[in-house]
Amino acid sequence: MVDIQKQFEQFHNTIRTDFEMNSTLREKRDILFNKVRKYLIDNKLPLCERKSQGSYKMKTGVVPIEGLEYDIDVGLCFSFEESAYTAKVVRGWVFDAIKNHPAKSVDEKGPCIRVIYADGYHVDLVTYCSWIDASGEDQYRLAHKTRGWVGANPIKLIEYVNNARKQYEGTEDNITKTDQFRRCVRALRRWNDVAIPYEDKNKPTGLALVLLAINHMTCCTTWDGKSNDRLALENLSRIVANTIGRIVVEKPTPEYEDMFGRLSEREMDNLKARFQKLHETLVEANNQSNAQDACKLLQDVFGDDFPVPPKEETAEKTGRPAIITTSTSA
Amino acid sequence: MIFRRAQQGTITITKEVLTIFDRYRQHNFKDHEAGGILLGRFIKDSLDIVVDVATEPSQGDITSRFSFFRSQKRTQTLVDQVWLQSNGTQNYLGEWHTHPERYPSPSRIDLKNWHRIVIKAQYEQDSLLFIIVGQEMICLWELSKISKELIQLESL
Repeated sequence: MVDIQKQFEQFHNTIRTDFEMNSTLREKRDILFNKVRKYLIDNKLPLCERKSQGSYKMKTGVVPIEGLEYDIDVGLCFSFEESAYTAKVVRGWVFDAIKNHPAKSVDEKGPCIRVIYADGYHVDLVTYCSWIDASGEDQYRLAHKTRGWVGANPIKLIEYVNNARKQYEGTEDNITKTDQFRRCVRALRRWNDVAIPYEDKNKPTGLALVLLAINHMTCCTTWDGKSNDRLALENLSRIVANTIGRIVVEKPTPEYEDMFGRLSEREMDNLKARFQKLHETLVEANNQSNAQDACKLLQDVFGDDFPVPPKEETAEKTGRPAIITTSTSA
Repeated sequence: MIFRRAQQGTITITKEVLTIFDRYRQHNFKDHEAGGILLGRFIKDSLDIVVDVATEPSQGDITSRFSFFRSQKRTQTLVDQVWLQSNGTQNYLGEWHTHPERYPSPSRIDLKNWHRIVIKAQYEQDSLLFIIVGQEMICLWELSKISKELIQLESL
């Protein structure tokens, strides 16, 4: 029953994407957006609006480790119906606008166009068209490289996540003013990166972990209202590890796909085993009598950025050694 | 092993300390009583206490099947050392001794001894801890310096 909330909060402060990197990414994003806009104006094409999305918008980004890169997603939103132009044509405008951009490379990915910079970060440009349909509903389509226009709703997705965060109001920490939901999601993302420190189709995405946390995590505080991130993650990992069959988390917006659907059977088994290990470690950490031992255990799952306090740091300093007496017992 | 304090907070007995208690449990007819002092830490921002060290009987102590006398000098040196090495974070918490009974309770001599120690010893906290290691159970009492109230703590 050791209190290591402070270490969880320090860990979160270490792994969250820092303001400086965010400003660099924002700057790159703005340069690219202006470039696309200029190209559209010069060629008398329909204009697009910029929509923030992804972990940058949800504020769940983590500092990348090893072979991973910082990234930022930018939505480019055109106002027309999907029948007006093909997805290929619209992606073509964006690609042509930035193909000669001074970056390491510009790659056509499935759902986006990725601009990779040499300094270890990339910007994903995601192209949408949107209109209001006959029943007054906002419609969005994402321009996919091979599948054409596909259903999406980046605005609703952000709303959905923000709504889910409401139960965590009042759990903001003093260092970063971040609620328990976002702290725990970042811890999960780092845990995921420590286990799979590279990009892989079998690796759960950041969004998959966000939605998993929405489905299975609940706000955990102590009787006096202090956050207990360890317990929140313990409960989540227990539920997920004990899932019968595959872990399934459907996206709440089109195309309502299973966010873990791309994992092979074997990778799914590995993932469940990893959640089992996470659960056991979080329980074991709680059984330690001092914070140092507890945090050492947690480094095993969360990596070396999880802080281990010296034994003395967790205890009060006393003024002088006690003066003892003899003792007679029977 | 964790005990709940009367108001708030917990007392945690570390594995290392429990190992020492096990070593001196009076299982056999001929086993003598044993005892020593408890040292540990007051956890910041809480009323939690962790017992990290239990000293073992040493030269100068007198022991029989039904009694134990702990001398002062050697143990005081140890308190000073531990305090210094831990940068002032480990200090004296109380006393422990064994009883040749399954479910231990303090004898009249024990109670008198505890009350004397609470008054005579010099320490900064408001209470001291007293542990009796029985053949089966380990029991813990907290004795308040101010109210002189003795409370047996429940283990979790």
